[in-house]
Amino acid sequence: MITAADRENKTTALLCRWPHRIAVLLTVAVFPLIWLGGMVTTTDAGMAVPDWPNTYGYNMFLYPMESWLFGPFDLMVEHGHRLLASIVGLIAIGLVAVSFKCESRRWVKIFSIVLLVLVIFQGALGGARVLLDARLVAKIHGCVGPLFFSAATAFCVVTSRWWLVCNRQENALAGRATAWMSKIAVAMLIVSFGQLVIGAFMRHVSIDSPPSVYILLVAMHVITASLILVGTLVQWCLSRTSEVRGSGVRASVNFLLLLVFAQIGLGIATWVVKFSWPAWFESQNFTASYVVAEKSLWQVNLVTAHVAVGSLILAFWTVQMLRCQRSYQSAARITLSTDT
Amino acid sequence: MTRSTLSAIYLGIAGILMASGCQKSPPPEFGFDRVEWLKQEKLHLGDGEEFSEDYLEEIPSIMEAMFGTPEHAWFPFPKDRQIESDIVSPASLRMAAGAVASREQGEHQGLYREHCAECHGISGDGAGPTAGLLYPYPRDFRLGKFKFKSTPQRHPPTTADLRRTLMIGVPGTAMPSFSRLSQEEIDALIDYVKYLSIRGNFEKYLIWEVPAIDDEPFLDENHLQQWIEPVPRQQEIVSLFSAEPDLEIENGLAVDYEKRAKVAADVGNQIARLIGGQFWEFVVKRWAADDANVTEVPAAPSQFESTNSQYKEFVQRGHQLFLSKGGCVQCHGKDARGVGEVENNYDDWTNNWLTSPGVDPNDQSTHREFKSAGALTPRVVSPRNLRLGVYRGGGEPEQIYRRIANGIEGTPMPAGTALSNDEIWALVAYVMSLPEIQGAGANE
Repeated sequence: MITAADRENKTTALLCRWPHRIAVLLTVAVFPLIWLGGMVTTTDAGMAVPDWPNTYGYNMFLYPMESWLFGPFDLMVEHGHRLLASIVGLIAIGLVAVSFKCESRRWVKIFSIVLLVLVIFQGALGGARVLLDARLVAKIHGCVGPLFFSAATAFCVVTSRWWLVCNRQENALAGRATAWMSKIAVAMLIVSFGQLVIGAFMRHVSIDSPPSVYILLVAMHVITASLILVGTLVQWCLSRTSEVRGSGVRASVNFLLLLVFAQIGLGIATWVVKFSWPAWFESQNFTASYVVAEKSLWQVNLVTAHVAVGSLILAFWTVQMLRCQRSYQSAARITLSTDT
Repeated sequence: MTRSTLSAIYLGIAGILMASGCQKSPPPEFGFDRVEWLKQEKLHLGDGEEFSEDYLEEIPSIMEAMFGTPEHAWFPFPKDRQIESDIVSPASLRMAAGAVASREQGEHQGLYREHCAECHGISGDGAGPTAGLLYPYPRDFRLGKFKFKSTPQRHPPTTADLRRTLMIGVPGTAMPSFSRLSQEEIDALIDYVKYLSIRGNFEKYLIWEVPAIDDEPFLDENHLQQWIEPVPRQQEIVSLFSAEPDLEIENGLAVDYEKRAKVAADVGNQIARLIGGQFWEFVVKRWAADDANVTEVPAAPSQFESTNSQYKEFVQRGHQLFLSKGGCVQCHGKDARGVGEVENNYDDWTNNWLTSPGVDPNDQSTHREFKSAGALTPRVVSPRNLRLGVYRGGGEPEQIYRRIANGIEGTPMPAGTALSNDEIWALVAYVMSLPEIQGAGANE
């Protein structure tokens, strides 16, 4: 049942669109940050600047532009990653400020603080990774990045106009298919994050670990990828049913399916540019003559793209999960109010 | 799911990640060659018997005295001799060893860990974390055998051979081309590969010696005390980039490289005497010879040129040699596609343990002990499909000539010792003509 107070709250929220705008800006800034972070690992640039938070003794923001942009590539990537991360941190502070000024929902205000805490934590992890030169910290840093991206995306959704007006939709979701869609979306969100954790462990595999560890990680990565593909296909099929209309659920699942296919292609390409073609292809001339080029443009960008698209899939499953949850809840409420 | 639950989830996951530990990981160590240890136990002892565990402490101590640690790699450079520094330069070791780092001007440190350790392993045992999924397995440097080189079997590759492999890579395998690296970086990696090879070889010699020394320690304790006391072992380097190149700081203690060199050389001499003669000299001189052992390639006969009127007969002669005297057909098959009558061949890196007493290549249950000691699952070697026209060790006529003349070390490909120079050139002509025959659709 929609109360008068609810309506008033929503109207107030609609009047102030700034939290949503800043959240979108934050999310848009985080994606290149994740790309750049992936590139830091791909190019082994993590220790290109041995001090933190300073850069070679300079205040990070005062480090000479010519040394940064025209210096060694790994220095450019690492320092660029730090600068962009600082900008993201500033945007997160701005988000807290506007949320407290405009946003009437208390939990959204808390959520904005959670985002700020996460980004500070991630920055501290980045610093610890440099100061301790520790592989475990690098793994955690690689996992918290996508987590923050997912959280920022969630903030965009919950402050969006769609979220606020959802209860008024005539074509809200209801029924068995949508119930399954909600459950699958939650499961896929968890599985997608798990896949990124496995990926981080593969990327930062300890050099003194036995080969069996990497074999296990690769097997888990492939199995989890298959689960994500199946989950996305099922979600896509369910979204084709007649009970699903409006609410952008179809659009986001279509895009998710495209992303998952692209990601599988990128995964295969990552293997090839890193380790060459599998032995099954050795009878082909083009595979037999293929030479892996260490740190080539193709290698660096394909591997990094695979990392970044993984985070993008997580972000889109966040959107999908929230849309399904919200629409399904709304439908249930509408059904309930009609019944009474 | 919405509202504060969402916030709680994100904070919860972050908390778990935080609790899982922000601590410095211990530096990696050179692994002990447990496969060789197990092999020697099987060769010299009865079922269930084991060598004294004291050696499991003493051998790593000697190895550390002689070669340092992965963080602080070291090589015995006796002060009055040049030969060691000609093989491995101290500057190269400093550049290739240790953790990955780089300076503001772009110089890189820890090159081996940045580019090689993931596959070849920290001690060069060819069993890095990714090795199990690569085909072929990455090279284990410790046997001192290298496939693609210009020298005969039982001779190490030249610096130029190693440079060629690093610069060009090995087609169709995970061994990349490092052509983007600077010359200085390539040199550092070449030296580090030599260092790991000599180090691994040395460790094997010590293990081979264990059955002969009859439960006595290798060295008198004074030697190890002399090493251990001035610089406590397992220390971390405080400053990687000391201004004084020969003086680094370990936890505030200046490392006296001259003293370290003397101790290492003393240990090395004692080991050399123990092993019976000039062990260290032999290893060092073997590597120092470099270009002296390169196989000379005689000029190709005129028929080798495809424009020559007798070229077709020359190729035909090569074909006959391929089928008969050369013996190539046995592994490469009649049509040279790599499917011959001889199957189930293993390379030397696998045979090194697969031929141990009590191990049956066809019975996987007999492999378990070795696999838990670090051996990789045995894989049968596939002879090259010569119709592809892609040669891992290079496709120049001289390179193919040397491969036929010298064979490929560590693999079942033998040296063509029974063949004359002309016959080898005829085989080269035939092998190089194979991709064209394939293109023309000839299947005979």
